[in-house]
Amino acid sequence: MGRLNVDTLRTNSGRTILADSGNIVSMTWVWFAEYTNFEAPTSGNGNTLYPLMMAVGVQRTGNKLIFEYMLGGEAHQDTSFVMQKGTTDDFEDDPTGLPIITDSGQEGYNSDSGNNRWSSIISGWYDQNNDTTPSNMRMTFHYTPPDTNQYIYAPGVRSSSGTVREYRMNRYYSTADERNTSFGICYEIAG
Amino acid sequence: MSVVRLSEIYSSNGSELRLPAQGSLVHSTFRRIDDRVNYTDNNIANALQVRHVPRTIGNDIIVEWQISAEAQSNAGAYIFVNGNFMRGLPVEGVSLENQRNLFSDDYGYFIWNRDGNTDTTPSTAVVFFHHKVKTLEPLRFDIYTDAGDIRLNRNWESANGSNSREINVSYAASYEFTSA
Repeated sequence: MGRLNVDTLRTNSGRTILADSGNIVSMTWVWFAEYTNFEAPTSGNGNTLYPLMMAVGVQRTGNKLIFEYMLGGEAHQDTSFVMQKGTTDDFEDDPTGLPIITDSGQEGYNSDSGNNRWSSIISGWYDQNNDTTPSNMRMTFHYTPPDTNQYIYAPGVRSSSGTVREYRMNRYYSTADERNTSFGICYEIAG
Repeated sequence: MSVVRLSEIYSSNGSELRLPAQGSLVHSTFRRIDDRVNYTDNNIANALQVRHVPRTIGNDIIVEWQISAEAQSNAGAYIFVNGNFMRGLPVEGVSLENQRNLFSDDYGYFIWNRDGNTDTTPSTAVVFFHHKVKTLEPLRFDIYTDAGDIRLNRNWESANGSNSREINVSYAASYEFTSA
């Protein structure tokens, strides 16, 4: 068979199973089980969490990317996590500082608040100290790229205060004995 | 073009059925919420509403929220479907254990994270909800706050944000999967 249109594919009981939009057309994932520390700067677009970078290009303009991250480790409560995107050139210029996403309505921070240090997608977990207990943080980000080019996507971390803070990925603050892992997944949904 | 059923799709060597009749994603909706809104006890958090027009009766819908907020320590939440708390029995939006205690302040579909204070750092709640499609009427899924106030996408102290007082983003999505 040379060709199959989506609306001709049916379940065994006869229900239409696919449509032009809404189904997953690709998936990319990344897992990081080592540990490393990230400084959270007080200005700029944040340091890139490079172990969680994913290179993704949509199959068709209009498709939507759903990013979901499990961030392990201990983060100071004044850290903020933003979303970044860059080209291969951006990555080669500075792999630790990809550009923050500024597309209208899809910003990598709160669009009402604007791109300032306390504006982000999620905040570092506050468990009342920076000591011996790592957290499990969840971060979602939805994005419809403007074209089918491949871009590099990753979360970034910056400080929400005037003091440089830290995110210790996959470990807790005081020592690196107890560790967890971090994971990222990206679904491409047909638009 | 003739219709093809999943039971007619085999692996490339022709030996195995390749696609399941249950669990294929056929429809999805997505929302991003940047608004900073305060909700007092016993209110629907309108900004978080998810709307979904189902494709097929019998399908399974999974609604998923990632909600950034700072909440009072007792605050919980229930799920409403089309404005109704109860949709027959069992009650949707409440765990079976909790049905004996509907609207008790001690119970909820989920409880907002407590971080020791209502101060400068919002938390992130992750919420999953399942709904079986019974009719093709458009669906509204809502979060109903209970037993405490929440401040959506913001810290407790500052609506505009400032040093250490973070402003965040919330997301919602609905996924409709086929059933056999």
